[in-house]
Amino acid sequence: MKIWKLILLIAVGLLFPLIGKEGYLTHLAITILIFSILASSLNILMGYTGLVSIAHGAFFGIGAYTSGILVLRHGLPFLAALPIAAAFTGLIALGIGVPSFRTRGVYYIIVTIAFQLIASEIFDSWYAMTGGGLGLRGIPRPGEIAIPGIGLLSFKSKFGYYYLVFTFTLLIHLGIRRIIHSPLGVSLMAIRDNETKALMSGLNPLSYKTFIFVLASALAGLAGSLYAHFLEFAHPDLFSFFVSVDLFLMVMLGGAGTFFGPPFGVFILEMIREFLHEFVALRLFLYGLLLILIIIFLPDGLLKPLSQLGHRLRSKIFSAKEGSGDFTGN
Amino acid sequence: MTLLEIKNLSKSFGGLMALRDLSLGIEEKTIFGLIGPNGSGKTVTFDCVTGFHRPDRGRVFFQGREITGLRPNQIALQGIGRSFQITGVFHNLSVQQNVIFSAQDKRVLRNFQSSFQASRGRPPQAMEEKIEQLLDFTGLKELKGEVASKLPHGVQKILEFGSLMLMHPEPILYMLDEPFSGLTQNELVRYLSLIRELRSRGKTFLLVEHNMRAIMDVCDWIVVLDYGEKIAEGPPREIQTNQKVIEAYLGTPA
Repeated sequence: MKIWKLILLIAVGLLFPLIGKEGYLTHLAITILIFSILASSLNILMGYTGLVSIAHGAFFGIGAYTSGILVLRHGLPFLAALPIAAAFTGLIALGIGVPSFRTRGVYYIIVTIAFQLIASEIFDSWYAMTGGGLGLRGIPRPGEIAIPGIGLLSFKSKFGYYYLVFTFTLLIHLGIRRIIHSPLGVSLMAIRDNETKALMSGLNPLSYKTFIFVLASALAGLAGSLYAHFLEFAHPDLFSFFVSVDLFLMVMLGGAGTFFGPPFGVFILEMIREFLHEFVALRLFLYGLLLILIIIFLPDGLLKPLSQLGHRLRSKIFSAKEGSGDFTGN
Repeated sequence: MTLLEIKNLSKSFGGLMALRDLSLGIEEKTIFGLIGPNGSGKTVTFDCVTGFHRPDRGRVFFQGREITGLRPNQIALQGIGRSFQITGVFHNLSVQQNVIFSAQDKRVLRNFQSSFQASRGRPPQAMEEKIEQLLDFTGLKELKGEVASKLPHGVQKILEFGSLMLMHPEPILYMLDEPFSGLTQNELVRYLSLIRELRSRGKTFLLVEHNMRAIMDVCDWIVVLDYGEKIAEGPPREIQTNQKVIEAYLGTPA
């Protein structure tokens, strides 16, 4: 990925609220940014470490409820609740990860599904804590926050909140990119490719898997906190099994194991969701179909073949040298 | 000095006795061959030594210290590098990444930290030089950008062996499980010369192999297994004429 493309992407991101203002477009953009954090953190597990998790929605929810409850019931400021929510989610993931990585392959996936279902049940039934099916209402957006060097900024408006979410999304993605290209990233890919060999190279796969599972889940928890304070609301349906499946689909659709793929998958799926707003049943049907088609025909996801097609078209049109940049960032 | 000592090792799976009271000692700086018909217990021996299986009975010592019951990653860090029958490379990583992985620190928190340091976890100068030297030594330099799965089988085998050499700490003992299978004549010659070169630098080898010509050619000492038991031991010349060995491989004359 060339640097100017990255700058362009950031510039578009920064200028977007000028178009979207307080309207629905900004709402949609915030949702896409938050889900990009989710998809990219899930991608570290699925794409780079080879661990499929169908519990990412549950961790998303744990972060959302934790942050909402802390602010609503205990009067913590948002900026304190956010890291606590992330850390608490990570802690829960540690408790789940340590026993579940003793199981392998498909059994491990079943453990994650089971955990998702248990979490959903708790969100739904623990009225005193979560408000159950009524949801947790009135989670406030952060008011004015003092930012050193800039002054007081208000995040009450969508316009303001967008920039908060954008900053987190950007920082988290830069962090993920660093991890992927570091010895940690190489180790994760090595475990994905050949765990036995990685083990015999002196590495302890269990500690790597646990670490990355905790990290990815904590990021999902952070996204949950951002989401709850954005919607000013938390409800079991927002963090259900189907959300976990959506996230799985987003990663697959964009391309597991590519850096830009999962956010792209989020974008595509959110668009589909928008256009099929009225037809919930049709949407589920379409998702299922999409998943089957991707697995059979596009195991690398959409972005890789699309960018290759782009390169081919460009080199045909300009009949110049093939561009060296690959949009997948790998 | 005896580098690796196996004492009275036994291992059974269900009712099948895979290893029966196996004892052997491997002297430093030798090339040691472990041969026998299929199912005679060669790979099980490797698995018991490197911690993939826990022996039912018996003990394993490396450099005088007991390593029985340690996990594979702990055993690797003692200075044992092992290759696998099914070629052990990281298929979606480039040749260079394969080698870098082998050389880099294996501690998870350390690696996480280094992602956010100024160096971004790039290998230090000294390690980069070692990596370059190794790529030269094994003839993999021109292929360093290639994805491992795209390489021919024989080159993958050399890559696997090359990554072992860069392990940190550097292996003292190399345990190679069928290293020569599927190699072309040229690749075999190259592989053998790499082994001899490393031996001259003080390394020790334990080979499991079916290519008799190669094994008789390169080994100093050979142990023959049959049905999990040691049936013969000696220098290649003696093994070749040993009646028991011939029977084990060809069957008893009716």
